[in-house]
Amino acid sequence: MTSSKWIKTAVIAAGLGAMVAAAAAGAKPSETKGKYYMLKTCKPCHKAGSKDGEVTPLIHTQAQWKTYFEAGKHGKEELTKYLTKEQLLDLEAFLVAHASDSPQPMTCGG
Amino acid sequence: MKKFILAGLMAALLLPVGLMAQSNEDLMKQIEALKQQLQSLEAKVAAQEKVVAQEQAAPAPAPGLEKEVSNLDARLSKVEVKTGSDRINWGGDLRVGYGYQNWHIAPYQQFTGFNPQTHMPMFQQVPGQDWNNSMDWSLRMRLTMNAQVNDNLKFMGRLSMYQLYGGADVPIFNGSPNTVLDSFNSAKIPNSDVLHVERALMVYRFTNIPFSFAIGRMNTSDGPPLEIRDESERDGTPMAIMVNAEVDGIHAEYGLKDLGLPDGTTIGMCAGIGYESGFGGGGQTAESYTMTPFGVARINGMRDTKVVGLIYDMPLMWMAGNTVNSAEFILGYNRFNDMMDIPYGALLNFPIPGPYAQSSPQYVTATRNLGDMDQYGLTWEHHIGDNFVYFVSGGFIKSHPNGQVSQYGFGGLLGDPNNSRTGSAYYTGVRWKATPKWTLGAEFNHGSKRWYTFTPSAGEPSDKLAARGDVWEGYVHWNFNKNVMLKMGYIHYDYSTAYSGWQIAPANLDYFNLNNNPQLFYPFPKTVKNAYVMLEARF
Repeated sequence: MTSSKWIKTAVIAAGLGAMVAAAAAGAKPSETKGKYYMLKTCKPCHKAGSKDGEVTPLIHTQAQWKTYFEAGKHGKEELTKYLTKEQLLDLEAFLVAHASDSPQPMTCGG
Repeated sequence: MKKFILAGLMAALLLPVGLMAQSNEDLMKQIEALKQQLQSLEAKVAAQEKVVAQEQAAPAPAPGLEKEVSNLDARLSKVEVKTGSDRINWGGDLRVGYGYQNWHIAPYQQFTGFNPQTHMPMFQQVPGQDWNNSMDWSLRMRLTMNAQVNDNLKFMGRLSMYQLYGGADVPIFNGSPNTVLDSFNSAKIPNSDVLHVERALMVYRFTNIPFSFAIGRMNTSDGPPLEIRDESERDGTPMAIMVNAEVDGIHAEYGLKDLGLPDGTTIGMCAGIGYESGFGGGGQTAESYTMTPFGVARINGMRDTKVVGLIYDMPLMWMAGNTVNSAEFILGYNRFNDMMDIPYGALLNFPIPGPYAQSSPQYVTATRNLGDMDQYGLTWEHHIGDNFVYFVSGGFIKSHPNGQVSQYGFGGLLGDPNNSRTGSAYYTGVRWKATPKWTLGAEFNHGSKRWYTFTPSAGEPSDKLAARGDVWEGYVHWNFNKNVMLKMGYIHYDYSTAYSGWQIAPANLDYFNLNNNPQLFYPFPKTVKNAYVMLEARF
């Protein structure tokens, strides 16, 4: 292997290493988990046609979802009655990412 | 008798005294009750006075606050009126792309016409050649829109503009200065009412049953798994390996959750028109004639090309340890009836620069229905956590020709007008979000020598999922700011057989192996190398 190839290999390895390290360090809320909690915890009551009203990410804007989670209330109850604080962060990440004013609102087919 | 009278008088005298004693006790009780009520009222009055005193002691509104509230009320009223009168919600994306392309054409024999004496076809040997485009800029703008018409009915649409810098619209010039049309003046010359509508559909959802139907120009382009490479949400209903086209049709869908299947599982049926033989299609429902390279051809009662399909769609989601897994399993079947003899397909299907391949100045129309075709597809997408996804997709086709051939010399279905033929393809890939800002991906697809798929809306110079041969792609996405992405990638096509993307071929496709100096109407590339950089903003 020539010196230039060593340099290229080292640069690529360093880049990949940096990405892996950054990925490991970046423990941000998970949209995927948020979607999971949405389906398992919220949807059983808040489905289309239910008396509690359907809840989808599209019913609020990003700012409204953030305000909702800041208040932390589900009616008169605490949201933490339903999910842990970490799980609520995941749920918020999902709902904000797909809110009505997000670039790509999650559509329901058609 | 007197005794009785006396006793009665005594009783009459004594009774009021007894009653009086009882009334005094009641009065005392009532007085006590009134005292208690009075004390209660005094306590309430005292509490009220305290509140009033506190309110009076509260600071007066800041100067101008009332005016500010009044102003806010006026401004909010305008916003409410505007929001209330907005009928459509808009969104979209803008993408600027730069590409480098190299098309290598292996040696082939170019068809040059028929010998006037023998009527046999004539060919001329063409050496291998390369065609390069080192600076290929493109611009794509898409405006998405939707409107909730009522609780059940929703309108969805997308308007699109996609062109190459410097003249994607073919310049047309007939010698008169006022006939020059190109992309530099297309929006400024009052000669056209064209607005490209990529999607326009209504979706009706029933309230009490899990049933919906959609009608219009459907969301039948850019379907799964293409959203993985695009790093976006699912953008279409049918699998990309089966249909990627702007189809006008209808789609009905029934939810299967009540059968115990996962929430979101649906079975759908769709129908569309692939070719209109009457008004608007260029053909005629009655007998007529058209010009072909071989002379005047008779068009005799063409039928429409109809498409009907079924799609089973099952989303899955489960937790494995601390990782959420989500998956999508899709099965599809389409039946194309009465396919015709104008090739569908992306840009690859029409002549690229070559020594004998010239753009035709004349548009042609279909001359024959060639038969039917069955198409099957399967796709599995599996997201592991937030950052890793892989997919596998496959397709299979089977032709049912009716013995007819095109009067342009394009032949019959899959190159064989008399025998049923099959083709297959698969498509696989991975995407890894290495960091919140960097994404890496790799894909591979392979199509057999008779593979055909209905993907004219692929939006690529050479539609990769229609390729007969192998295609590799690698890409890196840099999400350097919110909703803005720089995409860098490289696609390498290695074609085995000519006429990729065509449902027809002049002869058995075994004759069109690009390694074997085939006889061709047009030059088809053996390899295509395409490097690209795209800046994309979503809003």
